[in-house]
Amino acid sequence: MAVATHGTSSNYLQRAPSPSGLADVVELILDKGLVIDAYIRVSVIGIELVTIDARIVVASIDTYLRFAEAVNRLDLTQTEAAGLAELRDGGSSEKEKTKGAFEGAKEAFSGDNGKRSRGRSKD
Amino acid sequence: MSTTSPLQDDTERATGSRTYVYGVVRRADARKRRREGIAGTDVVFVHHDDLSALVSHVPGSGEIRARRRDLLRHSDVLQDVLADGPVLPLRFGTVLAGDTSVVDDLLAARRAELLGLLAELDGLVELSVRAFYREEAVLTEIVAEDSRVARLRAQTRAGGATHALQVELGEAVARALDRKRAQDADAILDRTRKLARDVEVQDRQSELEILRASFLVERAQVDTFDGAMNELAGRRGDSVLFKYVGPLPPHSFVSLRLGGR
Repeated sequence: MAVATHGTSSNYLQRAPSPSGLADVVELILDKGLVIDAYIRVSVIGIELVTIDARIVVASIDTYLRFAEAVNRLDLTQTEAAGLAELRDGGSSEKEKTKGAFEGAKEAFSGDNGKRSRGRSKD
Repeated sequence: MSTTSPLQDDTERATGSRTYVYGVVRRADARKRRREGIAGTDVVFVHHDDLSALVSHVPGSGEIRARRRDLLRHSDVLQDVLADGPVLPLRFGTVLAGDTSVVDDLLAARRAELLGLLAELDGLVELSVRAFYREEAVLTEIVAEDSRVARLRAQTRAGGATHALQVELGEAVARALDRKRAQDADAILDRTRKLARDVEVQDRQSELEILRASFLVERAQVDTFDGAMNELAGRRGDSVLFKYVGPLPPHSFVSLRLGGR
């Protein structure tokens, strides 16, 4: 019988001998396993809800983990410098503050785009 | 080690209650284990002939409500007994009207099929493999490999990028990602399929997911499978995250649908 493989050739193989959380079990045990016909079964309330609920939780956790990984990989020196520059420029003129919110948002968005591509090109 | 509880004990406790069924094992493999079941109940066996059902007695007479934490318990209980021999997992949330129904409607009524499945799955375990791209890494690869993406990226970055050009770039990236995903999924399956008796490929759940599959593997082959996974991670680990769980009970390979008599 196999145990968790230690010293894998890469950090990107996550090996678990058994399911360690909701994310591991959800797809394994929902909609799977032997099915006994409904008329023999006692009805259980909320299975669909639990199913949907668990899938949502798992999807969010997956997303959060992806964000966490992405944030950890950010080139912080680049981002911080750009962030500061943006703050400084944004606050430099009183007129800027009176601009419509929509226009401001548009500006922030394109500024963000530029910042991200600059960071990426360094990789 | 083998402290199989006699039928009487379980049946007595079950009087007036409903019976949650986790799975079915051979009676010869039925060994009691300390593990909390559904809703904090004990996990016991209901025996009939050479078969045993792994069950919990749901107390009270009110409605039975499924809870999220019970998903893990269901999985844990089945995981435990896998070490003792083959186990047929039942679908989460299967509750029968007491132990009599477990015997009459399941163990006795379907004895031949259950024994057949247990024999078929003896010595086999499920291994679950999921593979995901790391977003930045795979996008970097795409820019490097796909000249059209590279060109459109250069154009949109040069400033004055029109909406249409952005969409064109995004579309090109999506196509390249589709192609890559198919290639990487094939590479994983090519390397692993031959080590498995059966493979069940599930639907992807996100753009960045490459593959979600379960493999039915002989226990003796699990180490070899580990080796294959290590090799794949070594080859693609910079861009691909592999999540690999097992040995598991054969959740994905018990397709039998059991009707009543």
